[in-house]
Amino acid sequence: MRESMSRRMSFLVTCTLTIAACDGGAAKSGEDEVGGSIIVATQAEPRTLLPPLVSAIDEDIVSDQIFETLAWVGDEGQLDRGYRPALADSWSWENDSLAIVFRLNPQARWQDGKPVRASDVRFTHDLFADSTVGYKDRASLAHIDSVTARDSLTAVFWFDARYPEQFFDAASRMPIVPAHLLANEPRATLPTSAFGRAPIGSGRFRLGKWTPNSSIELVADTTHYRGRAKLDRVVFTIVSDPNALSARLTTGELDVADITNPAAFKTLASHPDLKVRINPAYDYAFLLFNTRAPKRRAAPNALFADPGLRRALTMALDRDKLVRSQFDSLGVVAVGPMTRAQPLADSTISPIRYDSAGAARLLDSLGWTLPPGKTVRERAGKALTFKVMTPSISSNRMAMITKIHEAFRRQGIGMDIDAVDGNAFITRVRARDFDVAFDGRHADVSISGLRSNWTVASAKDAAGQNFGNYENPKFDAHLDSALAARDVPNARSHAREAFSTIVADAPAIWVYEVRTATMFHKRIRTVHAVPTAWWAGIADWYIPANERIERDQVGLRVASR
Amino acid sequence: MIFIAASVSFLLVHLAPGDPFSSTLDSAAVSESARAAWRQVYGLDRPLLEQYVRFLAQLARGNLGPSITRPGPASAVLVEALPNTLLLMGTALVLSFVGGVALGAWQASRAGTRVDRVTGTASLIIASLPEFWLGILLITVFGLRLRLLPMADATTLILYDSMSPLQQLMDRARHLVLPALTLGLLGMASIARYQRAALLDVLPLEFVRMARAKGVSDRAVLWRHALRNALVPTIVLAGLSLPTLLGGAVFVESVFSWPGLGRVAANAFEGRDYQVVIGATMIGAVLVVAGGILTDLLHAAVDPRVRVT
Repeated sequence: MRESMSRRMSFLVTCTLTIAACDGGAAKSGEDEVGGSIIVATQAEPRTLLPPLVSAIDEDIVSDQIFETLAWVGDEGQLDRGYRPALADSWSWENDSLAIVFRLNPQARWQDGKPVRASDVRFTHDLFADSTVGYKDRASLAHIDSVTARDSLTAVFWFDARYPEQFFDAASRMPIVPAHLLANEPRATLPTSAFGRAPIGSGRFRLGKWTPNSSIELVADTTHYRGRAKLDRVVFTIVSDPNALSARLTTGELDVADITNPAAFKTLASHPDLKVRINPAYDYAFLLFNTRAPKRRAAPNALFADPGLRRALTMALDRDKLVRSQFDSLGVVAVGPMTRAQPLADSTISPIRYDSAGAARLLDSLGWTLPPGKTVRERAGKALTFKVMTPSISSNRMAMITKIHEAFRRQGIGMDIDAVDGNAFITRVRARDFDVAFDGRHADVSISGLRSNWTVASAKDAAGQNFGNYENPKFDAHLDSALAARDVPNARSHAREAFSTIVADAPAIWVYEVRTATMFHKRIRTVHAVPTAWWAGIADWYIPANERIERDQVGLRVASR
Repeated sequence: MIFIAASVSFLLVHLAPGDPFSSTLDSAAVSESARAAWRQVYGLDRPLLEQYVRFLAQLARGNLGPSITRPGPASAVLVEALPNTLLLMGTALVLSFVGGVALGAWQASRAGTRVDRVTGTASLIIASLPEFWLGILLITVFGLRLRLLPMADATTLILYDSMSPLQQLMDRARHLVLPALTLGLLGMASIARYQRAALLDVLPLEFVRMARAKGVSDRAVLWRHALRNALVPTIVLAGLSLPTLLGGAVFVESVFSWPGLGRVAANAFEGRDYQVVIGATMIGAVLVVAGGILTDLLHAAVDPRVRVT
């Protein structure tokens, strides 16, 4: 199971970071680079490809080939400078820095032939910001007052405040969608709109064929204003069984796939027909303590309102050993509500270290002692037992929780595994109906998402995402300062304070960051493939003419019919 | 029976935690107001009894209602996937029935020999295997090691559209082999064990001894006289195995990326696409009924004492 995500920012930031580092260097231009077809494995069939409703990584990967944003984040990966033109040719800031003017490429066309206009940009913002649409990062657009069309090719974003990610939110967060095709769609039924299954974008690939429950075929748009994609087609096929995935990669039935299983990774990495790219971790998992009673925010949790107990449980787990035994080189112990790949993350923050003797002493001091002849600690006749709700759909978390169960058992801590399906898990987490939940998140490049996950305001908001009800105003203050800082050292300093605070409070046991390995068939030259979003530059990937196999020879004719 | 199945599945799927709009870990940040609006569109904000009455009214008009995860009606989602599953199940059923009967008869003719014991043990092991495990085993042997057969999908991606009709037919057949073999082998192993036991019950009977006394060859006695009488329990088993095959198809379709009903049903349940789940359950119920009818018809065909009225 892919962990929860909001990947657009990480995708865009990283998409240019490794341009120079791609295998084969820059692509040589020439006819021999045009042609070929690749087959990419996805875990699940996308529900929709409509950008504001895309939420799973498999949806992101496909949708990002069909739609474009106004600008791409630049080579330096900075969010406030260095952008490259995409749908917008150029842009400028108004004097008060509260407005950005984007001038669209006059050649840009929708795949139905209609020109891309400023009214499309205005419509896109309106759609993403509409609370009834359900864009998952809508909170990030809070400072955009409005978008206006100065003329047919000039769109202006108006802000109510200056902030470091201002340009990113306008230029790169929202893929532009066609107003003329979506304006009359009822917004509440957009999740099942026909457009989501037959999208028309402005990207270098267009939808060729969607075979339900099987595959999605994208074909190169030969009339694209920035030049056609070099590959003729990209087919995304659903492969849900990891063993079948490995076998099909080995035999060349598949060309590209993400691998998270260490054993499969070891086998495939040494295969002569495959090359591997290790992606930095942006997904992390943690045992989230509910500091309040399940479903009753007014009452403290009988166990986990006590930070001492939370710290003791953290100390009781040898997370290094657990993570190494499960993930080998593909995983590391998580350091907090962040991953090491985030620019503002600080892995030097002192963690709560494994110390079984210390954990025992701390539990004893809290009154949780091990009575003679008993296997579980007790306090005033009450056993130290709790349930950890775990989504059965996540094989990583299911495997890890059994190891944690055994580790706790050895420390006299009674833990039961409450395995529930993904739907039930998210429903109960949102309702805060749990004592401990084995949760997972996808981190953005920005740490702004922490506001909705860990601040006092989001804990008090019944619809907020601070599901464990963690509250510490000191953390909030440092996070706000980090996000408002104009320079990186200052932001880093406040972020460090914020992270140190939350790690010391132990609202969760930070268990692991997991990296994925993306396997590519060796004949593919992955120009612009990037660590966190290998799909960023698919339109520039190519297969040298002398290395093409049978399926590369089919050409566009069949794909187009 | 189908009505009961529809009602029970309606109740169960609605009582399961979550709903179609709280379904994914990926979309946890979607606002509650958007979710509420979506629920309103599909009437999921109404009391369960009202939803049930509406569902029955729709069903009476032959309409399952809309799919919540796909554009269009739920029935279209199911109809789209059904042919692939019927093809897979049909092939597996023929394979398991024909192969199982033949193997069981062959074993019965060598009852007590070493070959019979080895074959019996092998069929017991195969019958005990989980579908997905056998599928992986076949993929490893025929797809990965020998590279004889495709390991997934119903057709060869990309190349299929450029094939001639005959090549397309062959391509479909090649893709069908491993998933059908997985389902069929499991059924075949079970049926062979039943068939062997049934024949061993029949072979000592008087009419068989009489046939032998008249000088009928062992082969003719077995295949022409004894087998027909020993087929009745196997036919019952084959008929009743239809819903079991559908259950097995869920796993087999997942392993082989086969775009069939089992996969649709599993995804629909995960995504709480209520109408598709109910529709898939109803198809299961239809298969139970169809299996019963098929059993009666075949029983009548092989047993002259039974007449279909």
